[in-house]
Amino acid sequence: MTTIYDEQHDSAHTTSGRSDLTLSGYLRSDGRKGIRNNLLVVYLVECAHHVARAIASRDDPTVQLVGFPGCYPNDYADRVLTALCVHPNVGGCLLVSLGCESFDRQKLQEAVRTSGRWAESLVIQEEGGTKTTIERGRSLVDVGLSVIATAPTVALELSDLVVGTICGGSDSTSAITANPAVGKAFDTLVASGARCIFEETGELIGCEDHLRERAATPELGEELAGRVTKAARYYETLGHASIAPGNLAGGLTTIEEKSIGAYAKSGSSTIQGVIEPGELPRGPGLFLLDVVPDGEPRYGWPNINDTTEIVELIACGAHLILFTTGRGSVVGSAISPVIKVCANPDTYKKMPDDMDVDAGRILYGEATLDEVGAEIMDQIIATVSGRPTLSEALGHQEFQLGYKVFRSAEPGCLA
Amino acid sequence: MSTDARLIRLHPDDNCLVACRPMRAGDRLLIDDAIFELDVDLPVGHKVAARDLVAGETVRKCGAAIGRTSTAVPAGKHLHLHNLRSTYLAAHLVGGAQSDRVPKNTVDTTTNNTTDGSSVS
Repeated sequence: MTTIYDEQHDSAHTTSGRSDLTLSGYLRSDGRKGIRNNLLVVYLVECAHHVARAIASRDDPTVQLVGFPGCYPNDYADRVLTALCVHPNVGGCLLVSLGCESFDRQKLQEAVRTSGRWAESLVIQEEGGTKTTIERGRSLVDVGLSVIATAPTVALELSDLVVGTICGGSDSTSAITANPAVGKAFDTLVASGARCIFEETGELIGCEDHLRERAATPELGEELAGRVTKAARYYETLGHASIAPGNLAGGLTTIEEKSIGAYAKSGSSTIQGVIEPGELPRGPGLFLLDVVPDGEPRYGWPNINDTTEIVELIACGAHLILFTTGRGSVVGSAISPVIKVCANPDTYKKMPDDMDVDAGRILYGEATLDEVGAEIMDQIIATVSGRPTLSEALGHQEFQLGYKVFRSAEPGCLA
Repeated sequence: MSTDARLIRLHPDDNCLVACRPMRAGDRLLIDDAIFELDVDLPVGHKVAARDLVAGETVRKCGAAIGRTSTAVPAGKHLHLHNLRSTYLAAHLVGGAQSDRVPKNTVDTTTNNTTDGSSVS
């Protein structure tokens, strides 16, 4: 890809002048446009993890390791992994199977090839074990890289982007600085025709009335509120309801107040629909991703850590992730770049090498929410243009996928 | 009208202000040109009333209702567990449970940690 990013976009430019920018992306055969050209090495069961890791270990950040550890089949994991393998930031996949796991390797390989992407697979039990599979895998990766290097580039607009947001390691500054600043960037993106996704209905408990007011239709409003009710019940069953003592010490008084702080990331646009992991937003605008499983809790926590939610956002097509943090998370992700927006100025001073945006300046009157929102937009444009985010440059490629159950195998996008 | 730079109004409709720098009991606060004296320490993230609030008044932060006052709260006073109550009632609990869903052990006395510490992102 021609890198059209240049240093003049690195400084604190406003986004007002970006209409004359020319962005480009990788055009996939299925018509989707990516901002990265990654090759995935995919383990289809934990037993194939080591071999896959050895194959993916090379001095090339575009060769990335993802996979699913479970042996027993799971529709959710199948849907998410398939969505990741045909993600616009992905040019091809090498699937690594042990040979006796339940994952339907052939169906996945077929889906990737049908999308026009390069796909090969290796079965360890048939290749002769660890050593020969690693050797064969490394040469297949060479082949795959030469194939995806020919991916054509194409003009890319903000309206081509899918952007997700998440918060992690929140503290009392998150709701004041980074979260509403991301909300400003979300408003700009939605106004530009992009698809934006916020998530974690468990953090929206108490926001049901606001969700109803912002829904595109009354029916969607009830659906959104119902998804929050599901989360409230799920978390309560797990003993994770309500608000923690640390929240109260940080100045939060009520569950509504805590949730409003997280909800601020979504900005103020109309909500167009609700989606589930692996499902793409069907049109432009703002969407809520419901990550809470249906039914009684079966596999423990809905989200073991932030990375599971990042993976789910990417499985919904997110080209990049806006991650707000107060205490200081360092994670990045495989497949899609993560832009870290630091809420707390003290954290920023301690961990500047990990934080792309210093939103804590708002606390000292050194920047307004609008200015930090514009700065986030500049970071998005630089990232789309090919500049690595700090977590990318540091080699972060976290990934985790576990078991979940959603009742709707083919969930309908309510729009 | 001017207001102390150590306080932030997150939305024009808000009737509370949030501390963006730590303040001490005895500090003087400027809120809409009037001066108030803080009677408690105010860590970052804590709230004060932006104007005189009557008992039962809806408190707004980020433009959204976050609960109701349980007593009258004069301008400049700390707004927290002692004078602000949730009005949230989860839909699946309607018909049986209480709306004040704050745990009994409301303040973490084992730490001075003023951050949230939540494990859910």
